[in-house]
Amino acid sequence: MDTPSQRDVISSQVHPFDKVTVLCISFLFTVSFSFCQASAATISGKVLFKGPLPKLEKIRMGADPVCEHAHSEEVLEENFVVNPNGTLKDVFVYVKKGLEGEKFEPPKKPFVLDQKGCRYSPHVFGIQIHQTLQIVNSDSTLHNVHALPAKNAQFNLGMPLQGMKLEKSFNTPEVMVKFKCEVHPWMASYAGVLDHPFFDTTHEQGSFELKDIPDGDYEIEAWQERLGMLTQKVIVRGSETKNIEFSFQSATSSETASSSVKPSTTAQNNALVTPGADDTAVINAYQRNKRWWLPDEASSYAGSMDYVFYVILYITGAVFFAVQGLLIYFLIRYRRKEGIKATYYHGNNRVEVIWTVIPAMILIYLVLLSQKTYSQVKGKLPEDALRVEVAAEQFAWNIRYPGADGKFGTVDDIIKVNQLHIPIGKPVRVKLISISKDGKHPVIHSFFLPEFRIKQDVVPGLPTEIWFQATKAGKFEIACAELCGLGHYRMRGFLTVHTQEGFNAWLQKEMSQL
Amino acid sequence: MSHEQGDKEMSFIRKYIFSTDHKIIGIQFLFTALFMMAIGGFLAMLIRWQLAFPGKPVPILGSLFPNNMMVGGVMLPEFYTALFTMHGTLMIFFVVIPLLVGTFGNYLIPLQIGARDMAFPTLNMFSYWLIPPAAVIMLAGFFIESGAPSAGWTSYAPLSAIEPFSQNLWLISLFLVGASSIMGAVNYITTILNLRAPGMTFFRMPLTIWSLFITAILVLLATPVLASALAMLLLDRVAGSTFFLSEGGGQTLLWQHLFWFYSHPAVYIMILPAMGVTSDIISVFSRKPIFGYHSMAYAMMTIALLGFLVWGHHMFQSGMNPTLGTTFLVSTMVIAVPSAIKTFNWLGTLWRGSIRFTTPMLNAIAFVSMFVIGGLSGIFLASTPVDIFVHDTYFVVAHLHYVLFGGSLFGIFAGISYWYPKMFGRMMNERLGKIHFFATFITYNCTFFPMHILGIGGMMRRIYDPTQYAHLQHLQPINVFITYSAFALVLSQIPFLINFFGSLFRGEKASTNPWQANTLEWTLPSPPVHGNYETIPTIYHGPYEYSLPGREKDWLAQNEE
Repeated sequence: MDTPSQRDVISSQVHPFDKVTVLCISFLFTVSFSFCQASAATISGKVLFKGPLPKLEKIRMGADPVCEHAHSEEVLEENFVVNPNGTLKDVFVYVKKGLEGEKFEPPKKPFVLDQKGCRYSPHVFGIQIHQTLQIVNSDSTLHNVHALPAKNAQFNLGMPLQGMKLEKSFNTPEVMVKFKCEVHPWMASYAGVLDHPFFDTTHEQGSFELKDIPDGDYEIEAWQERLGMLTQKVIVRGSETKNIEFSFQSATSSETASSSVKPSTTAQNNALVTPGADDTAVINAYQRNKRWWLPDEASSYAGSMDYVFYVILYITGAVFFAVQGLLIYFLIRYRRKEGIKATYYHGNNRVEVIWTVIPAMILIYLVLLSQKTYSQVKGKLPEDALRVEVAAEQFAWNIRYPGADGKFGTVDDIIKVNQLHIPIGKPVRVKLISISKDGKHPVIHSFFLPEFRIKQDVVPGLPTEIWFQATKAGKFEIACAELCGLGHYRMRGFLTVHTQEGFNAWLQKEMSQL
Repeated sequence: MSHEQGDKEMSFIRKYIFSTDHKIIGIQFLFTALFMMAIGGFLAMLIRWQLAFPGKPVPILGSLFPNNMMVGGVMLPEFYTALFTMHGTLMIFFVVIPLLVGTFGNYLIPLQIGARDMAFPTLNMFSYWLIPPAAVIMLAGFFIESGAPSAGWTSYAPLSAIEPFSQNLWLISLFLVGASSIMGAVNYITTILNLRAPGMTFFRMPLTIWSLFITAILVLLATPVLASALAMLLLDRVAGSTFFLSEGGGQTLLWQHLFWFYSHPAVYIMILPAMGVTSDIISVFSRKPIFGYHSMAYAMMTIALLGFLVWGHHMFQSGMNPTLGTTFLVSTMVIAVPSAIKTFNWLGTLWRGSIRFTTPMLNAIAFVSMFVIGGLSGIFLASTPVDIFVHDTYFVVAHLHYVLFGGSLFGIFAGISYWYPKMFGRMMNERLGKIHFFATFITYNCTFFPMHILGIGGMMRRIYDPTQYAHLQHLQPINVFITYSAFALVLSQIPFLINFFGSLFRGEKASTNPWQANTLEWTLPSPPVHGNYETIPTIYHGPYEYSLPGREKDWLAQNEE
């Protein structure tokens, strides 16, 4: 880890020229002399865990390719990490009581909270009030850091760029302040905000050390994200080192057991590989057209939609040149000339009728032409179609296939995030629904496939079904075309059009991985 | 009591600040809207910077913005959404509507129909004085921690129901603007119906008055619908109602129906007065009667009527029943007919005229030319299958700017330069006016025409960073070109500002009728006094008796016997 750990920050506190020390020296001959001498006590120890090992869920980062590509191995949850030596990682240990009335200067050095590989680093940390918290985005994707303190000011800010830095600080002690990312729901970090420097976070060894504590009677607390708090009383006098231990017990062993219900299937399907199943070459062969004009036509009805577009383009183009040409001609021909008066002429009802009827007839023709194609696209949905459900949330497309039983909402559903796979040449019916997570309201999105000429708003409370049939294999994009919040611009999904064999193989693989 | 005497007795504050004189109120709307236009234009420049150079720090100004807008000069996505929301909101509700309806409506209606003032001068004063607090409330969002409103100028629910606090400010501010519009509309309609001078029959009214009359009816019928939608959304946000929230049994699409039931007529509110102004200016500077005066008036009435029946074309992809889409396809195609009639009549007016290329005329001609483009691109959007693809892309952005900038704003420039001598008693500089016109016309087209291509290429609206999408990356040079053009477009407004403010003090003194026009305002001194007419004139002619055969003068004032 290349960010300064909590320990670095603490060690900076005891630097000889640190303010606390300087303050002491300046009062060398005053009452505080004895206080300074005594401030060398240390409380150290370990945080142990007893109980069945928790099962950590795998984090699925497929929603954001940047996140997924940042990790070569699978990524697990961080909320309950037991070290090999039986200790707990990411436990925040701090002096809870006993320092009332003491004042401590915040360190000059900012504390860095990094967003790297779509995780917060560190996951748990301590910071002093008025100390600068520098939040860094080391990923080439949008993060949105949302701090959720109760006593301090909330903030909720997007950080769209790699290398972007934000500086914040807290004014009131608060244990713990949660940080979450509004873009990547799995990301979380916790900060213990204190008005003194006596805190530490456990790491791979599960140990902690609170240095340079003045004489006193203290209550020390250890906080763990899922297990809660433990406290104990410690009295320190002089420059002694007190060793203490915290021992967390799993109170929720049933919970950890229930999370491992999922059946494990072995990958037997390797034997099922049929000729043509690997369509990677076909998919990769597709090259996007890069002209400054309509994108490629990749759906069965794109051609007839573009036909209407071109008919309108030619008609309006002709009108455009006729009107603008006439306008320019009149401006030149009838410009003011000496001795020539304008014609006193109020108009002519016959020409009024002509230029009412002719545009009306053209427009009626366009109505009929449009309606024909419109009913082809928006009319009856094909019966013999692959059915997919797309649930749009801020800011991702959750894609659901019915699985082996052909029914949605059952345990064998295949769920993908931002990855839609379909076969070529077969109608696909997409049911669009708007959902929300974390108790937010669902909002409107718009499911847009540029090459397929289909766009449909996804409306809360109004499930809508559309269809299309792919005519080109390859990789395409799903765009959101309706403003849905700050992450709207990157609510981007991917559509892979397979060969029929390739799609079957893909579906088999997905079903086997359930 | 003589009105001039009344003037002397009034304090500065009653005369110029809390004035009941329709002319002063019109000029107040003018200055307010020009100020808001400067802000709206500045926001547009920030938008353009981000679209051309996503993620690059904004030069010079970047460091001045606080951390909730830009970090190290790089704008944040939430600030970007606030930018386009506020740009749209300001330009529509605080610039184009106040300029066309507030400025021209107030200034011209009593003058052109031969009235001393509006029917309700005090109500008129209130209609202006709701605008400054509304503007302050709207802009206040930029100065609060959670940022300015950012649900788009259309504020679609339910996103607008969950956005931060400033969305309440947006709703309250627009509520005030709506109240102002309704007050103005009541006044315009009453004034035109009751205070026309003797002989000023409906079909002797200039087309400017026709357009403002029809617009006022649109405002009166449509704005209350917007106001109720705003109130419902505010209740959803603060009182726990669920009009638009599906979880509580509400209808998400209801907002869109109510919003567009107002906002589509609002599109005509923003174009009809410009059509009226342009018609008058083209006639004056062609020295020729307007071609097909009656059909021009009927076309505007038809547009207004059909304008209430087309709102659903904004919702073709909204999830609304596709069968309903067909209905709106028909009504939307039909509304192109009266627009075509108007265009051909403008061409007919130029035909065999004696055209003077003054600054107002050049801007009026640009209005016709640009409105044609905006109208034709509308046909693509009206066509349901084509709209599936181009809906919510830059094609729509191009279309609406061709109507609202190419149309309305060139109409506004035409109107300002035409009536400036009457308003301020001085002429604007023709050379600066022409420099401004040509620079604006060229840079405007370089800015907005390529947006059609972006839309056809599939670039969505309202995205913070188009380069995120592989299918948009090759379009990026167009975005860069548009941004440079937009910067040049803003620079092109400098001659206008110099001309507008400089001529207030240094412009040549304007005579009573510098353009040799027929309408009544040109029979009064420049500027006219409070109360306008010493004696109410009697009207003998229509407004377009130019180049009447057998007369030495090529014009005939409406009140000339």
